[in-house]
Amino acid sequence: MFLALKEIRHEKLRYGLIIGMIVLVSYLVFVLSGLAYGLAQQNTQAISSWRASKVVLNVDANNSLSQSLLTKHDVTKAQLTKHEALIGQAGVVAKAKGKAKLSAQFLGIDRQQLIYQRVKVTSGHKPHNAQQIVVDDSFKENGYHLGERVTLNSTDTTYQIVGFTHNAKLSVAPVIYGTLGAWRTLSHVTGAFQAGGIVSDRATFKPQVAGLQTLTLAQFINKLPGYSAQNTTFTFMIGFLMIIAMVVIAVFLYILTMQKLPNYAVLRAQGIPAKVLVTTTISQALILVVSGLAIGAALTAATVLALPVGVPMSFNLSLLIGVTGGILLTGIVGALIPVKVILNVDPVSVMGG
Amino acid sequence: MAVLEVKHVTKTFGHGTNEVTVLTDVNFSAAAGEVSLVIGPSGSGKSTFLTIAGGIQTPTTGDVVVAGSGLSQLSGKARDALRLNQIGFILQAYNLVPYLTVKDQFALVDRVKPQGNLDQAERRQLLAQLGISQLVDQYPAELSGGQTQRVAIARALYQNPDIILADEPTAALDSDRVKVVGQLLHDLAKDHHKAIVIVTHDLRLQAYADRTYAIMDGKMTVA
Repeated sequence: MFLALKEIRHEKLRYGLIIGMIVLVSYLVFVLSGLAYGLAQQNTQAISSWRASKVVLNVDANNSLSQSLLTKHDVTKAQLTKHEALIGQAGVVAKAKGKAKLSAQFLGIDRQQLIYQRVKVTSGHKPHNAQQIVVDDSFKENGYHLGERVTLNSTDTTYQIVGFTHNAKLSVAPVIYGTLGAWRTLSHVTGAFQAGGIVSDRATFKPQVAGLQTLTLAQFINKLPGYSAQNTTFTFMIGFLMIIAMVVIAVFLYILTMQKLPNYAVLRAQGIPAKVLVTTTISQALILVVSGLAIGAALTAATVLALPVGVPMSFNLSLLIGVTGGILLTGIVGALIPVKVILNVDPVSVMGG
Repeated sequence: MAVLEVKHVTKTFGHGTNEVTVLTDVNFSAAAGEVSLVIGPSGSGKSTFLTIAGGIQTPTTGDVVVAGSGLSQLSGKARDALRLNQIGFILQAYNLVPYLTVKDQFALVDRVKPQGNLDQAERRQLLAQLGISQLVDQYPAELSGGQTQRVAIARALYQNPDIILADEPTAALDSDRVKVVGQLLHDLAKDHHKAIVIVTHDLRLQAYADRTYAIMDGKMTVA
């Protein structure tokens, strides 16, 4: 550590540039990861708030809740308990006088069932009748307020916003919670259809009803339109970035080490153990990577504060640990590559003839 | 009594038609309290001799005995420890770590060898003798060639080794400094009972040597 710190302090420009490179790489990885996670969250926030295990849909709905319809007969056969809830999804455009139109996902739910119970309002209250709705906070950010009357799609019916809820997004659109009756109206389906699907928080729930299929929550989420493609794209981008970062950092550390070999040879000639030189190299790599990560994280935090509210950047602890650990591992691997060269450094190379 | 013995050492490099013999049946001994000078032109094998005597290289045949221990019997780690504790090297080039100040060059020695080094008073005296007391906060790049060499000598002596192996220690020094370094090495041998081995082509150092050897085409003779 002594040699590592002394060298960094003396070679400020050289090591500053390397730290700068690591800052940029980690900043890019943090921002991309945050965006990927934020977008993924915006696909599934509402679903996560239900704390469900299974989703039952019509077998012909191609795993899509908005395409699924369940008849009264289906629902009766499914034998719902207090652990299940009916739900219907419809894509809508919300508008109010003097306000921007907002594309949203309308979710029809039953007031007696668990999704209704699990929706948390941040202001106002939950709907008490078919003309009342609770909407995601992003409506508030677009100027909508409690008591405001909105129309959905081209229907004449108006709905009153009676509550706001936080982090309620589905397929990157804000959610509007209303009644199943309103859902039927917006979906233009008759009373023969009771809901689009069934959500259950029981892992064992699997109704044996012809024409219905049961999906795990993970299966249901992965089938959300665009969700898998988007996540796979981000995962590849971040993965490739990590690999490129590893190669670049490893090359930098290798070049640095090669430049130091004459010094190491002198130290070896004087009996300084190879272990000291290896420790110096690895600790130096760690100092560089940790410094780069810390500055990169600080820059990311500053960026998050500066970004408009609409940019879907979000982090959680396991994501941060994963990204940080990945870059740290990258640095350690990069530092380990030249170790063999250090162990084989020949003190004779610095002796004259 | 000899603290360093080189016994029938031969060193060859390469194989077959490319084989080159750099040292041929070299015998040498250095005793505590003596300065031994090995004189030879460039390419005569004197640096190879020094690296073998210091345990940096192994001989093709023969052995080196340091303070009673045959180096061929020691592991790499043990040879490292022996070099650290008992042998001080003064090298011809690349003597100092470029990103350490003169003061830190000594601090590095303290870190890897916390005991057995000169104390602070002795170090101050050594630096004063070499005329480098005022350079302790300088980096090697800020020193002249002669100053660099004197700092390298001070660092090797700071470890307080029993044996000092010096490879052209006066290469970058003017005549006045040659006298200082020669006298210093001579005094170290006499006052501190060190075995000093110098390989050089600087004949001015003969005045400070107890024994002089000549090396030519890998063969060593008493001069």
